[in-house]
Amino acid sequence: MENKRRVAVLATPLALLLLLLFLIPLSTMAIYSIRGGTFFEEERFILTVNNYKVLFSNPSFLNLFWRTVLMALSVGLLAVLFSYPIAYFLAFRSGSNRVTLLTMMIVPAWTSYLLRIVAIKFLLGSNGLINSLLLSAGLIEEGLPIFLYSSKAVVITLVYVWIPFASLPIFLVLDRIDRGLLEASADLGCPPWQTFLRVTLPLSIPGVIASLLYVFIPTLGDYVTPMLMGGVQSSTYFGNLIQMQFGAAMDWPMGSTFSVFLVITILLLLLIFSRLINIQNYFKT
Amino acid sequence: MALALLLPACASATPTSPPEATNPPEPTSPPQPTEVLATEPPPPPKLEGDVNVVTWAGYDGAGFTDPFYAQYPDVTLNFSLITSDNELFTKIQSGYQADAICSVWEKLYIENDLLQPIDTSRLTNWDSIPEALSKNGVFLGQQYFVPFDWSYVSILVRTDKVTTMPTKWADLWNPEYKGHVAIIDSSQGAAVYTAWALGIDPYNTTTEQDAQIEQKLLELKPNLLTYWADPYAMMQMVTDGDLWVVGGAWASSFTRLKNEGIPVEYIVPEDGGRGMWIGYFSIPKTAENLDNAYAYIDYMISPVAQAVVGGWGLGMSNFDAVSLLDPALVKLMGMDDLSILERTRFLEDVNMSQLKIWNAMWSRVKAAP
Repeated sequence: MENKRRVAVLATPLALLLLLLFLIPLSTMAIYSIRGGTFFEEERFILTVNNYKVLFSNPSFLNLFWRTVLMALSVGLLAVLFSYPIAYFLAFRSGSNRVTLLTMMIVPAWTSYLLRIVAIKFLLGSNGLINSLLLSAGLIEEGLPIFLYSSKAVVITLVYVWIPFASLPIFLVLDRIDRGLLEASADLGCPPWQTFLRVTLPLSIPGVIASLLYVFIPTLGDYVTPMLMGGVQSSTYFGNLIQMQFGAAMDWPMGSTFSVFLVITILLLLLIFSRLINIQNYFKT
Repeated sequence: MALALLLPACASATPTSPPEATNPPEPTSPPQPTEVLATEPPPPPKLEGDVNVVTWAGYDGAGFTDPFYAQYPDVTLNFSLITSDNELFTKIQSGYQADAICSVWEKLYIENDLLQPIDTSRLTNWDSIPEALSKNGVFLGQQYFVPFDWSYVSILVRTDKVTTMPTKWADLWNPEYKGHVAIIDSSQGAAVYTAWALGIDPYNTTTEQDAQIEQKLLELKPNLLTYWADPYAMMQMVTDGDLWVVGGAWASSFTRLKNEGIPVEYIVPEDGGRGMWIGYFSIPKTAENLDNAYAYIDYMISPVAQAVVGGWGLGMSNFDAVSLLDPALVKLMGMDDLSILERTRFLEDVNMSQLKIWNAMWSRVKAAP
């Protein structure tokens, strides 16, 4: 009884915080999505599902959503792919340099996100470093905007930006793996690559999934990177569509509708995802 | 300025004054404040306190504020910067306390009764503003808006990159420029320029014509490199040679690029000529520092402040400042020539229902594959 009361007391601030800063704003957004107008129009008092009709009757919007999911998924997979070796090295091979290396990986991530995007632009532009290098090597005749203003540029930038963050969950899981298991595997005659495939990798899956989701979900709603790095098509993803409604278009109800759709779809995707790979099993151990 | 949609995240991270503010075009030596002040009438009344100004990045630069503080040392200018008219309107509509705002839109503020009329007798520089400009700020028989600056809107061309010079708005669709065209990321801008290219009056469209404009904008997509929102990012793309033809570019971008020696031209499109916007100062009903607001607005239309605007290649509302500028620049931009009002197509003030149609269209165009 005493214990229960203590739990209640301790949990209350957190619950309040969650209610005030998460549930209430989310509900406000949901309510906005069924309003007819934004601020001053009379229609704002009318409740309507018209915005949802607009969303589902226009194939461009749904098409854009799936393109965004695909983009975010490829960013997530690539980020994990590049992060895994980094995390592996940090966990198993860094030795006494571990703290230094870990810091070296994290510190660039403290730089302003925008600054890093601008830096990438310097690399990829037609007068950028990569082009200058190719030019001076005589490999190309004139600078090509091959990477800038394209979906490739968006994906490259996002992967680069996410790598330090994606490495951490994998590193933590790898670091916790009992070294005894690896020794046992070696003692039993497994070559290193088999030890990796049959022991290390399966044990690190929770970290990989955490890392993938950590990248995938925020990328779905990102609008700054496409805006700065994207071309005509790739400068508009679902996040940009939402941002447009709250910004220039001044259509908060439509923006809320897109947002609600995004939130619900992410939840559904997560549900399906967790069923498919049976996520709980990994976290139980 | 009017149609700029700098991304909000960027706005918070970039310094508040753009390079232009600290780096006016070379030939234009900025007037010494004291020199001009000497010609100003009697000493201004002693003022103190704040002025809360909602305006555009760049208008908060030292070029503007230093002479103001020299004149009113006890007044503090507090700037809140916006990146689009939409944002400004939303801010004022939701009750933000401001003493002076700088907008291009007018009707929406009047429709929603957000402003107080201007007592022009409190502005010592008022008489220097030509009526051709000031009459646009009159609503319900009263002056609500003080013209501050204006700019052309036209097509900017990187002349060394194109083989055929574009001559009209419809040339944005010319496949020769495929992959090197940009238009402004603004629903109003995109719709209006497309309507001009189609020979349609943008402000009186039928439903069929709206569909026609939307279709035409979809057809432009293969020709585009990007939509431009931030003029500085756009100028960088022109400098890099990635962007050859820019639809909806402002005069200030052109003069800046030209001063940097980039081979650019700013055309007068055959199908209707250049567009034009006017920026106005007005005083919201929420103003709390009325005396200071008048002092600030009066200062912003004084020759000192106007010369800064002119140095950027933007038009000035106070034609007395023309003499302070480089004559070549004045001639290049036609800054002393009021007849531009007849020769350009005015980017008309919008009302809500028109804006809604454009915004919805723009969302669909941008989302389309």
